[in-house]
Amino acid sequence: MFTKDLIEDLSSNSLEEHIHKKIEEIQKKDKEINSFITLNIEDAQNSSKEIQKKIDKGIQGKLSGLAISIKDNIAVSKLRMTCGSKVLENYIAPYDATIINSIKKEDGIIIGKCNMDEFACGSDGTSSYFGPTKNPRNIDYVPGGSSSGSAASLAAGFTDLSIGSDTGGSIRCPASFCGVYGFKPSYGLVSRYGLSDMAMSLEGPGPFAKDTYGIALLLDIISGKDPRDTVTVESSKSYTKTVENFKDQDIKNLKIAYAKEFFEGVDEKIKNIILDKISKLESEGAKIEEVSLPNIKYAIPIYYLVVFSEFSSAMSKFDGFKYGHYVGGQDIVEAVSNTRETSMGIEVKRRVLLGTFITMEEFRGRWYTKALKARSAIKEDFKRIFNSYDLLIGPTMPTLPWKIGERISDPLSMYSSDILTVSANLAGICASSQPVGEAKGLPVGLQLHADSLCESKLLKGMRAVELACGGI
Amino acid sequence: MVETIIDDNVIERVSEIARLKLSEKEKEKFREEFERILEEFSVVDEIKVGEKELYYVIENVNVLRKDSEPKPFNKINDIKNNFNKKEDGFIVVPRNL
Repeated sequence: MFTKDLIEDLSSNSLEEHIHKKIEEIQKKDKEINSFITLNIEDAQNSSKEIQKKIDKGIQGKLSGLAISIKDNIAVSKLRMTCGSKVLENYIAPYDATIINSIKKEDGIIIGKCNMDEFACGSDGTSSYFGPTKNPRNIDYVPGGSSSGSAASLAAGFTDLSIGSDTGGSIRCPASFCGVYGFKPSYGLVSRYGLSDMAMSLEGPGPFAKDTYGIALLLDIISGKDPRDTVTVESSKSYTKTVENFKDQDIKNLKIAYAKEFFEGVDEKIKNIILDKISKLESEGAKIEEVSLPNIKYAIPIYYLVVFSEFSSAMSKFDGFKYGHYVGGQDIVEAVSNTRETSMGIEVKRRVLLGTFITMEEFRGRWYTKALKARSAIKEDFKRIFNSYDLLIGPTMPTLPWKIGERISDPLSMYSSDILTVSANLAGICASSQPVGEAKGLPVGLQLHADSLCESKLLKGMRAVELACGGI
Repeated sequence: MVETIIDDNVIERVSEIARLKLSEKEKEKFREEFERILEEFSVVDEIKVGEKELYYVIENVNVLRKDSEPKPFNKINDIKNNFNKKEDGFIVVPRNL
């Protein structure tokens, strides 16, 4: 197991050197990839010295000095937090998010804050005010979004682990496009305290890693009840054990469903790779059956109607009066309007306006309320599947990464790329993406879903796929 | 079909409520885009829906906690430093009355 071996290596080799090498790589190559907005070099170097002392005494935390990059919509005390926007270009976070506290306690070293689509509005990492992130596998292609820098910094070898956030696929999409592991936890498993909200009923932070063990390790650390986020629940915190104890023959106990709707309109090359992995799991004893999820085809409109509404409400706090970018005006209305006009990017404006429109009294019933009712239908679909199966398997993305700039001008084509990932957020269940092959030299991700708070089942599935793909 | 036709008057009102100034060119661009997006999204009409509006996917609503002793807060300066203007230890915000 890659991440486990790395931790063992660090206990006998120099941590300072390990961190130094990461920084050197970043300085050499990140000008091109653009995965970081703010680096934390001095602090990371100091931490490596401190943690080295702990390692020498054998009293280090679970993360043992591993480098971790953090999406720039999660607060790290005294570091700039921009959310990829001009709005917060100079905002310095005054406190640590709950998950950052936990990572620091376990001796994770925060190496920098990652580039992202502006306020997480985007699916390909190109809408950041700080310029697009490039895909380390081929810099002409998008890395996926919105946690573009998290996935890219990991794929480029700038960090050992990363944290992103997933509202409708923002962890799984870039994980798939960059060829790393990404995990969207169940709603309520990981605290959102210190996460800048985009759509509060759908989103949450989650880990990126180079293997299932790395995902489980971070999940053990960041999950659990937080009095500062009332939707959170207790966590078993035994995810690493689940992965470590998984044996080849445990594959036989997995009951896995695949839905034809998750393959409709999917690139043939991706489809073939995923179907091949499904056959492999079946040949190793997993029980695989076809099921139907009839409402998935409506997931995009339902999801975006909810996102627009919650997003326009979340953005109302950015008026420039308290903090952030500010432009004056003759009166308060004009001052706020000018400020917002000159600091928000096009996709942010689009969503703010659409959200305002569909929640106006005369249109609310036609759009927003209907979406909320339809959301129940998606949740019921999944409930029915998970009454009989442990996991639902399919591709993460319907297409391979596209070239940078290709989808910027057409919002509907950008939204359509989220078709396979948004349902998990609408239903609040957990889902993952892991690399299982390549087409045209670009990575292909396999997506697994498990029921709400069934993270252990999902990790077992990820480990089974990892082993079936020849992983160690 | 979308029965919601977005005319200039509606775009004007949306821009005002959202506190987001739009140029004439932007108004036209967004009006056209929004009609296209909502036209596509009107497939939600095909779904058989019940009466339940699902705002949250979790059961634990109205979570309360016990009152606890207030703790000292030592981040005041870190917060103040983010404000654009300060004077004599106070935060200066634009006049809004």
